[in-house]
Amino acid sequence: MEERVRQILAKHSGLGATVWTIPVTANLWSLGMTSLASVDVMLALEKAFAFEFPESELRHATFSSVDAIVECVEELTGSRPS
Amino acid sequence: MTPDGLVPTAAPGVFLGSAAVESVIGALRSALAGLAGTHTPRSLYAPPVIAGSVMAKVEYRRYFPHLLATVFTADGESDLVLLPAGCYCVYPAYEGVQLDSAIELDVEATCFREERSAEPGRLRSFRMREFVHIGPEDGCRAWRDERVAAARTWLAGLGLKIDVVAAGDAFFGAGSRLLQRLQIEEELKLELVAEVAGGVTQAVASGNYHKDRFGGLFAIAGPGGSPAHSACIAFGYERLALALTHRHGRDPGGWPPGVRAQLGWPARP
Repeated sequence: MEERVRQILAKHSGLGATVWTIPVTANLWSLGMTSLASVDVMLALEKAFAFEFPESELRHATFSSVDAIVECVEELTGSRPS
Repeated sequence: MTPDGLVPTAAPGVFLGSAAVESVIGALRSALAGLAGTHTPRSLYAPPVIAGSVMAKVEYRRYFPHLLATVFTADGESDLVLLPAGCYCVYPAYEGVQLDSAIELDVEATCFREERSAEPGRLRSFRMREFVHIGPEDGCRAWRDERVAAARTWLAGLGLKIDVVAAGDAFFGAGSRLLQRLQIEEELKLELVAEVAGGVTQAVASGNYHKDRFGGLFAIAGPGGSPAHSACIAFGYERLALALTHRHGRDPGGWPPGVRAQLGWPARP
């Protein structure tokens, strides 16, 4: 999951290859991801994992780090490891 | 003629201004200059068209294609589009400039947006008065907040019941819901909302903080060399006229003396 999220971020976040080396908790907004780029990230995640973000998750915190995205996608797709 | 004095035409959302409406707009034009307070903005008039290349640069076609109209001539699509907001004319005028300090501009524009609603006040062709601030990050959001607060007081002085609400733009496409939510969460757009007709409330003004988006796109630098931040506060003339006539009646001669005074009119005509 984390690798696929990093792949999507590398392609769509505007941060490029640096997303492969940042810590999972690094703040993507602070690194320079724009809200416009986050839309592409969101759409790519929805397509890759076949789900749709609910209104309640459409906020900065959801897309704030690799960890936050992984946690949210796992929660919404029911794929969180037990 | 509608009860509010905007005269319908063959095109929905396109109106002629009656003498009463134009007198109100004329008074608003003069009175809004006073709202600049101690600021001394550079005044500009924006024509109703703008280079399509500018709107491409700000990605308007991507995020608001449903609102944008292109000018066609006998030769086909021209290099012009209809201006959707006044401030888009400003940033190219400062392209590549490093500012010594923050600047403020006072722009009047005739605008067009392809509104699909027949709701009163949802005009396709309308006039906008916009104050634009470009400068360092420090103080830019505060300028927007201060201008919104001043506008709220000023509009309340005109007898309007104003609510200030965080809002999102009407972005187009699948990602619009996220952009709107992020915009609201960051309070980048504050709308000053008033009733313009019975049961119809709309933004009669809005204050926007763009962060460094336009400074970055147009290479406008602040005093320190980093991309300038920008903010604006815009007033819709027709909507304000609608809100005022809805509140006080069609005849400005009968409006309360305090309202007339704030518009620069004598207490009685």
